[in-house]
Amino acid sequence: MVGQAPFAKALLDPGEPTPDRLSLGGGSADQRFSIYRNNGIAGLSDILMAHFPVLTELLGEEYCRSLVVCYIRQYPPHSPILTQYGRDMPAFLAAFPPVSRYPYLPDIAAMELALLASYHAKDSRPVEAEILSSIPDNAVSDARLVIAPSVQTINSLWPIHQIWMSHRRNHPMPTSLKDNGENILIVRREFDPEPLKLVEGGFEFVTALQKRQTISEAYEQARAIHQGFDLTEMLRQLLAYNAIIDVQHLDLKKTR
Amino acid sequence: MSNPRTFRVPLPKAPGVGFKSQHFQDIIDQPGDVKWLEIHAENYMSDGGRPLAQLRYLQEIFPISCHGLGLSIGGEEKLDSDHLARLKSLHAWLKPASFSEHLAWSSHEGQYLADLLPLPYTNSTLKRVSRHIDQVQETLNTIMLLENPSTYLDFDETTMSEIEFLTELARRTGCGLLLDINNVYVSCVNRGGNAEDYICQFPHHLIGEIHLGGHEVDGGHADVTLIDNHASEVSETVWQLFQRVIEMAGPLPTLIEWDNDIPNWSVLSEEARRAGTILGRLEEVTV
Repeated sequence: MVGQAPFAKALLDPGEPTPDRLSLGGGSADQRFSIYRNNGIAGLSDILMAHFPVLTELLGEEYCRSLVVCYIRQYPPHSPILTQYGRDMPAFLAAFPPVSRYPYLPDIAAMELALLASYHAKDSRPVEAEILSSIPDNAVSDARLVIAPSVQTINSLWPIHQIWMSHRRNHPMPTSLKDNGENILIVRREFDPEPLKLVEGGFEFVTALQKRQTISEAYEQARAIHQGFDLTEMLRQLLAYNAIIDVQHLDLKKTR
Repeated sequence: MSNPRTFRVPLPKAPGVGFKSQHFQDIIDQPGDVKWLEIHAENYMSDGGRPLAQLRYLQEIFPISCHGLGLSIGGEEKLDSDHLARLKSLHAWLKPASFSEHLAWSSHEGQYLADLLPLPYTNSTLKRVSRHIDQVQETLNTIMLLENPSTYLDFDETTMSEIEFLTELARRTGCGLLLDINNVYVSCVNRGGNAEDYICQFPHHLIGEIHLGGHEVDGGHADVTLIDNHASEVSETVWQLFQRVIEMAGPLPTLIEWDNDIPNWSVLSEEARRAGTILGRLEEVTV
């Protein structure tokens, strides 16, 4: 009897021989079994390359196809839901010696994962832009802003926004990789996530809000990074991109 | 228990297509002969976003067939209770006209193998798969359809034919069958069977849905192998087999499956039109 355990083991490990006691309509067992060996890997490879289009372009399609096979063997899926398969790609790339000359690749992968997470995130309804002005001045700093589930942030030592834009929006490539780190805010107005470059302190501000800190606490964290952090402009941007879905404050009846 | 006279075909006896996001607007604007849509359940288990919004919109217009890929109904292990629960919540809001899965296994020890893997047709497999089908039907509170697989090899331990196996499963569980004619042809070529005999012997009264898809011919070996890849038009041989099935079984819900190298809507809807012509021609004769 060929149990599923040896069958699965032979599928995943190219060094394992073809299981015994398979019969064929004239074909060779090795050739026929190799179809099963290829099918799963090929399907998962297509999915990964679709999830990481910029990474694929940066590596070249042919090279990327062999790289993702290494990924699949190291990080096989543990669920039949593959809509966000590839979550370990940044860690995989950071530890994969052949691409160590390109240290920005893990952050590009993280950015593409964040775009994917945003794409599939829960839908939400943004607050009206006027809601902030309805809070009494003395209460604004204690208010907490609830950030949409589709909002993502990434901080990077590399100009990943420029790299991404050059591949997806035909912008010019960055002229220098060094000392050119960029932080990114991913917003989703309706269904299409869009990455925006964050101003200095913006990453700290938004992640503090995501942790349910008050506006003043978040502002302090942003100012610790950048004294001139422009709170009004940051809030305007978040509202414009439907990123705020609720405002909670003691003086304000819960809005929903 | 199944009763041939009361088995209810769940979908319109007309052409349907596998829904792909890029065809969303075309399907609404120019459905042509397409009367229902099939979705892969696992693609609609996220929290939100465009895929779910599109499906919510389409469910108002078309009957939806929910087709699972990841339940591993033939698996030696217990069914994944998390995945069953996800299917149940998808069913709760989608209220699909039909649920179908494959006679295959796809997971082992918590790892998803991303393929529909073959089973030996034995009494012990029969017991296990019956139990799993019972569990799915109880959880979803529906009669499901089970699809014949495309296979590339057999097991020495097999003691019954695929048709005997499927018929007995349907008898034990009351489930219906999804006849994938491309899978029949692919498996018969690969394993030395006769596709014409297979479709003649298949229990026509249990068919709740038909699948038609494309395959690839891999001739680079001593023997020709057909690969079921859903990346092209339905082959002429499969169209002829389909016509034979419809002549024998009467019109049935018929899906065009095209999952890779997805074409423009015009190409896909033309395939649906061709299926509709075969279904409709017979309808005129039998009315």
